[in-house]
Amino acid sequence: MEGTQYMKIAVALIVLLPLAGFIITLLLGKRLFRARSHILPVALVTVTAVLSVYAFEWVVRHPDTAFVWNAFSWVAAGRFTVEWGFLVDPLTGIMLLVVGIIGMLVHYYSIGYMKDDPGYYRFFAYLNLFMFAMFVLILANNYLLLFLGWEGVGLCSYLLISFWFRKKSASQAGKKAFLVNRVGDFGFTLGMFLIFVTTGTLQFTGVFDKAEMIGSGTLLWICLLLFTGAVGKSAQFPLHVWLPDAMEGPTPVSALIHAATMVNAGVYMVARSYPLFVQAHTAMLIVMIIGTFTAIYSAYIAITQNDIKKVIAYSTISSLGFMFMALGAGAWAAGIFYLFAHGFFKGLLFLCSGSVIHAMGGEQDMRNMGGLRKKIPITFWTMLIGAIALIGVFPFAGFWAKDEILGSDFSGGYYVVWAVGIVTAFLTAVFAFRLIFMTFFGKSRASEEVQRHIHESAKVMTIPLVLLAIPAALLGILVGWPPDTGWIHTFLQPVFFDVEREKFVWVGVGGGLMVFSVAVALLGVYVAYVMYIRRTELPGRLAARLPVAYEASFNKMYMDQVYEVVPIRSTIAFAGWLWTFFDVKVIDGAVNGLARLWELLGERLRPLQTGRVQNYAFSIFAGMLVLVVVLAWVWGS
Amino acid sequence: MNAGNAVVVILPGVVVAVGAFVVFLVDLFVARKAVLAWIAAAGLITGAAVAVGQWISVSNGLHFNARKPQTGFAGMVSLDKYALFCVVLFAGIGVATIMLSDAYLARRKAARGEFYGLLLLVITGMIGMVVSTDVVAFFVSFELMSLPTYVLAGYLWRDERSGEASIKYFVTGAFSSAILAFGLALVYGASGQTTYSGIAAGLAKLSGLDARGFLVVAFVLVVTGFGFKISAVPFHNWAPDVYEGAPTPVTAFMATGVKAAAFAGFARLFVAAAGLQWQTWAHTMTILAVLTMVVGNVLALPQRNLKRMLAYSSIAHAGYLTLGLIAAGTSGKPLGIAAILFYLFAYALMNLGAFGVLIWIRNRRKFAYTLGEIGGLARTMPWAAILMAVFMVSLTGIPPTIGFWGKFYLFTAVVQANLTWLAIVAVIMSSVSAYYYLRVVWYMYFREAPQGAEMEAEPKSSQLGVTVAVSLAAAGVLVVGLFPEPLLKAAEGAVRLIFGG
Repeated sequence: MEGTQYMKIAVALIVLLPLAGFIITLLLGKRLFRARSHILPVALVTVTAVLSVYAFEWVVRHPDTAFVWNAFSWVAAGRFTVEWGFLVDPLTGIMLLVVGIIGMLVHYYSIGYMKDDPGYYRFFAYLNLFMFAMFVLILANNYLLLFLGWEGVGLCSYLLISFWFRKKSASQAGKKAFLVNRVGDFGFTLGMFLIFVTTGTLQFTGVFDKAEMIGSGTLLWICLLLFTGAVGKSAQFPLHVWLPDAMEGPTPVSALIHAATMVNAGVYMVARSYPLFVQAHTAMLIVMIIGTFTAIYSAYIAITQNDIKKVIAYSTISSLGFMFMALGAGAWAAGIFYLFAHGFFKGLLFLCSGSVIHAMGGEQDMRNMGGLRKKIPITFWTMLIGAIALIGVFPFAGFWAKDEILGSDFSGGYYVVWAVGIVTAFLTAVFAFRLIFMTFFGKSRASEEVQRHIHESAKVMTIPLVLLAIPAALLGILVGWPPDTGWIHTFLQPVFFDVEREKFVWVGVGGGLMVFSVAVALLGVYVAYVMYIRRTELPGRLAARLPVAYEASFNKMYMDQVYEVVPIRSTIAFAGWLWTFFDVKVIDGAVNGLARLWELLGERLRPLQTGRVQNYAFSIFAGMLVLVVVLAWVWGS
Repeated sequence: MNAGNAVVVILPGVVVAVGAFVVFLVDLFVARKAVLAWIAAAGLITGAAVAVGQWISVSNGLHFNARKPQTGFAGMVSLDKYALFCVVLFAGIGVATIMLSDAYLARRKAARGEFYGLLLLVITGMIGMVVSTDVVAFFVSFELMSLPTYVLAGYLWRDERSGEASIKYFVTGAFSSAILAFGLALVYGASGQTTYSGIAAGLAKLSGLDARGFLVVAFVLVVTGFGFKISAVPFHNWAPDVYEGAPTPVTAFMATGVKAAAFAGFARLFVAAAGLQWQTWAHTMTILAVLTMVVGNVLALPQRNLKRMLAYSSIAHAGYLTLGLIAAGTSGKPLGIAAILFYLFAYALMNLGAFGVLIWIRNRRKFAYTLGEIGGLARTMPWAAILMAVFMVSLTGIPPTIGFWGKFYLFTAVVQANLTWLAIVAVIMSSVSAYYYLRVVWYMYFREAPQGAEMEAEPKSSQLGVTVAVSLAAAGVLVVGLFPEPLLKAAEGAVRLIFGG
């Protein structure tokens, strides 16, 4: 096939370059590179971004053939064989674009954001390691290799959340993310076991070929277990609690890992397992319900949060819920479309918030901001574009994807889901413009000291913002036009082969729904305008009038407290019992007893080692005689 | 067959032997002895390169017949992938030993030329053991390997422990060589042949109880000679004393190189010569293997001296390796021998690495090789400590290290030979070994450094060989641990032909 050699080289480099960058930077960064630690990682990631675009372009040129390359055998144990195998198809192509481009821009942004940090080299080393793991995740052609990447990005997420590990809250947040994800990963692992037991392979094509032959009960379990993994990684209810805390990490990390790439891994994995899910309708329904609930639930929490990054974090959870809603409702391509667009505008929003925080000298509380519009204009305009894209106003990126999702909910007959989606869209508009208004408009509420230092970020930070704002604004219309039959649908057709494409109706239901949802979004913006610009006393009065609703939202629906009581305390109590009784008495007793026994035996045998050479010769001779006697006896009988 | 072709068959060995003489010769004329290490290493690498070239031409059927081994000197030697695999392994061990020795010897002002020359002669003998297909050639190679090793063990003769080690090794070694020679003589008497294939054919004709009794004695004598070299219980007593007393690089070499040659050479002898009588030595071996694993591991537990601990642990590993022979002998399938080759490779990497770290520390400060003295190593020498931890984890057999796969393939072979109980014993014993291996890690990371563990100032360059060798070994442990497939394929390819498949 034309060009596969080049593809092999490209794929190999995409995986290997960030790994090399990680190793070299980690080994030499501290002593040798120091403040120049970024040069190598950034250069390598730039090359991988170019190669990602090349791979994507290859897919575009070969719409009907997926690139499959089993580079070499990884594990071979009897029936169980796994390869370092790669797969590039349209779905991977889209992921490559998202990861490659946003990854590169975040690297550049970090040069400015992390400047003078004592852990500068460490930061870039981890970022490169993350890129390696993320590329492995999306390029894998089997579940085990995907899982390797999956755990790899999880590890990097942990390392980067607790990057400032001397800060107690940061190290706690990292631990929380790691532990919560373990719950999901446990489900994923079980799902993999079940897949292997049922189909005898972990290779995607092998598994999917047999999808129709798997019993419906088993298939349901496989899908639910895989989805459990996705719930953990993509921060869906009830395993979402780690993501808001993950904002303890540096902001570029939030943008790259916790908005644009890693958290999408769950969505990607479910989409990748499309042939399995499509056969399990109950599983799809559960995916949709969890997604829908998470979407509105976290949008509701977002409207009262005051930490600028927390708002965007809850918005991310909500958006991921939107994607699962789409997948569950059967709008697979629309879900991936949303993922595609979301990566850009959410990454942009995070990077903008980082720029705001940078300008404010580390301040994250929006109550202490205000009036920044004139002082940091580039950040303001790009963030405004991001917000408009997020709330889905024509013609920005979010509009096309979100309306396709809502439209297919409606046309699929899931009216409740559609209604919830509309309410979510309203809430999204409110909190997004609450953020914009509180941060950029009105009078500055910051202290004199801070105000004097407010400045626009360096070029190395603002240029990535502008570069991200372009796709945030235009991507939707470029790939999503016309709705439901746009380029992205044709492109993804080989992956989601079984989905019927409906012709979009401009006049009538389709157009009506579109106008309606845009109207809802604008209404949300208006509400935010009234509450946070015109009559700023209103929010306080509203909170006083509706204390329960406000408190519930402000306290994140008390989920942390619920976790504190139910799983954590009871686990600690159970663990305490395990420790004092089971571990100390039973296990340690047995282990120590055995160890003591062996050690005693060892001590007793030591005198045999006399150090006299005549004893050694005798032992050789005696051993020989004994062997002769034993063998003669064995053979004689 | 003309003599020219026969030389081609033993070419790697010839190259190494020539290397030895060049080292001896150059030693007389140059003042800068550091160059000798390069010459010796070059000899080994050339030998290995020749072997690799021959491997490639054997694989592709160029110059050689891929299906039939090339023999020479009236069938006394044979060129095949099995021998070539081992040649590369031995040369690698040799180069690593040179890297570990240079600074060590220089610090002690010991003559380096003779050391490297003798080392190359030992390796020539080792290569001879694996290319031999005749008991006479085999025995001569065996002695060529053994005699210089006695000298190397006593190389630091001013240190009385080194001298004692040498004498002990020599006396017991000579004793067991005599036993081996006697055993081989009996085999010749029974079969009337000296080539392996001839012996196999001759033994197959024997029948009747008398012949069996004769064979039992013959086999036990041969196995005793073998058991001595691999330090199998009850022929092991020399090992801890010699390993502790000998210069540390020599200990590393004996534990990996000499043992590897003994395993590879004897495995070939047993497989090719014993023929139908496999069951005989499988019984003998089972007794040895169980005793060796249990005694080696149990006696390693109370050791506080790291060299002694590694000596006992090497006894235990000899026990695991013997399992491969048993599996092959019982099932008649080559998997066990392939697992042995893989394990020899693994064992060489992790043991050379572990001894290398000890040498590394010893080169930097006063160090009596005790557990207490490596306390707090993670803080004083973090890089050495982490590499040591890798080796200890690998020796225990925990993934993702080469040690895990080594044990995995060995034990799999044992299970496939329907000897599950033996595999269970082996797994239990290797879990016992976790205690003394991981204790080293614990000391390095969770104990305070002892008094007087301060580093001596020293120029960086002289340590370079050690650090590079140890780092490469660790990289090998991890890389093969992650991707065991190619090495296993090579090992399987190596045994295919001699098993007459």
